Amino acid sequence: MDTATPAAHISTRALTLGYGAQPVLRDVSFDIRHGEIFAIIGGSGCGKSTLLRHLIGLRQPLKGQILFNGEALPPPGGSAREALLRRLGVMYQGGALWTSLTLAENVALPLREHTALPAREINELVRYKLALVGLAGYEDFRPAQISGGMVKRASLARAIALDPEILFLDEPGAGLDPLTSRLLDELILQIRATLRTTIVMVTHELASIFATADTALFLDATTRTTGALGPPQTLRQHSPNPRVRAFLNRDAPP
Amino acid sequence: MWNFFRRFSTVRAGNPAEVVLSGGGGRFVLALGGEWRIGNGARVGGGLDALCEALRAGRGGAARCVLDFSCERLGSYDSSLPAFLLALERRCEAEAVRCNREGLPEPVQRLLALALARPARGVDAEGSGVDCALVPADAALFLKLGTWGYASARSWGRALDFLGQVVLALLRLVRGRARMRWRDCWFFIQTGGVDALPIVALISFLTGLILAYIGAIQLKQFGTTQYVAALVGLAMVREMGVLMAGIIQCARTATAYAAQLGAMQVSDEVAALRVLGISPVEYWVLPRILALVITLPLLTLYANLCGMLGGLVVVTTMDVTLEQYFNMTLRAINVPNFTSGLIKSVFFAALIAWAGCFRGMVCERSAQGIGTATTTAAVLAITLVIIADALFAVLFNLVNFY
Repeated sequence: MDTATPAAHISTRALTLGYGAQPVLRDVSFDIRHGEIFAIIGGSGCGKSTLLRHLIGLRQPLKGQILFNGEALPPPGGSAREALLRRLGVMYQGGALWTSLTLAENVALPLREHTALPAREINELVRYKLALVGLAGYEDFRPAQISGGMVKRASLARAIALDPEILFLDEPGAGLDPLTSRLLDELILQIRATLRTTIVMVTHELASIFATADTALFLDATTRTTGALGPPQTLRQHSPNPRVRAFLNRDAPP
Repeated sequence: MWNFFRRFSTVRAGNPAEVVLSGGGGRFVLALGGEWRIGNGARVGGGLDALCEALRAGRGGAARCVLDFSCERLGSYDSSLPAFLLALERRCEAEAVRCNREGLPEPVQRLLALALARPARGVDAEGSGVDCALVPADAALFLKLGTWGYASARSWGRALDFLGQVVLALLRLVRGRARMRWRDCWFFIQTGGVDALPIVALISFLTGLILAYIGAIQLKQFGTTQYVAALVGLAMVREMGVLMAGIIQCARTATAYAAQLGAMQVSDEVAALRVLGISPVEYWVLPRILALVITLPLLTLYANLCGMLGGLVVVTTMDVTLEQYFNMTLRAINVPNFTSGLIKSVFFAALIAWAGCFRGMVCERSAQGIGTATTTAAVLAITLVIIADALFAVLFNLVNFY
């Protein structure tokens, strides 16, 4: 078993993931460098979201290790784990905004709980983050009162509330119209450029993969493991795995 | 040589769908004709069996066998035709008969190619173990028993696990380290307590009224109607006040908690909180439990009072004065009577809130799951309350607390 390269922000070693005893993914190893946009791609049901839920510590891998900056994720419940978790931002597939809170309160919650900032400064930050995702003026709306696309964007604003080191995005573009989806890609690139955030996203939107991702990890639903790993453009042309080429070229499956 | 003819029953006007099989040995032709409409009698199942039977009989041991199609008499068609052909092709595969689709109309060929593009899901080599969630109805008795035992053991394990989490969160709250917003707690006091006042008043007033009538009928025979006050007062304070308030909270609050937390679980709100490093038990569950523990004793007091009022209304029709009723009630109720109801209310509140929150937190991620969570929360809460009440009755009797 090789050790993580020092430049790797997140690395996984021989991960086997699953629910109960049933493995969903087997033997997945990769490194994510600092400031990289890393896309986890693959057809439906290949285990993309499962991998993400393990990376953010919601589930324990059946086997293998997940290392952040070369260190393992501390066990649940401890303060070391909390300290690590607050450096992560997560945007969930369905938004997962807290429905009993307004948008502003949603974005403010991480700030209130994890910083000692005075209320006024939190307020300013919240307004700025919401404006960044195009939701200025919606501070006092509740999640049930806005559209699905707006929920996604508000969820992104909440994910970047604490200026996380690593931003996890679960299907950021799904359910958005092409233009909004493009704006979101733009925003993701901007966040990386200004904050040097490492971004890990689960997606199957080809346009967004080619527009943003530096590296793509293709999970193969058939073999239940890594299908390919590399820059998406290279994979599209030269991947030895025909399923990967078909996926990225939108061909019929081989 | 071999002629197979099947005329399907006609439901609507127009030529009924028909299938004619001819040929034999290694080569068959299936002539499709008529109007293939869903509801036009073109049923797939029964005809298919007869067709396969005829194929097998006509084949007569030929090693290779091809089925061609002819569609000269075929009229219009909808999904019933490709559905029939797909089923036919699957059956032919099993019989080692090759279907030559060239004779079929272009669009049907394309639809079939699409439907057959991915092989049907067979038995997964990996997951050959028994999936406990999907035990067939005709499974062996021991398999069922084992599955049930395993599931209930797991369920109890999870219940205890959740109880432990709640206790730990409470300890952190006592040490002032829990992340709980008192604002949430106030909100639940409002919705679960203050808003429940009218229904608690109604139910316990009527309970007092019923108790008074039961007592009055008996006591009237001895001319001691004024003792109805003692009976109603004692029954309300010791048992009925806390029980009625508790059961109302099982129906109102336990279900509400289960549905709220269940929906949060389904929409990943719980996960979002957990990843933020905040314990959902501290943040969502604690304020709910505390709110009920604060409100149920108060509601119990209120219910006691309303019940006594109900009794009063009954006895005023029986020549008992307000003063007599008041004095009689005061004389009947002593401190242990009064406090036993309140002690129970605190425990009942904790049980009810815990049951609701537990069922919500382990909710399955579906709309059906939220429904189940709500129902089981109410059932669990009521069961726990009644069991606890029985235990308290025994316990209070043992320590002479009355």
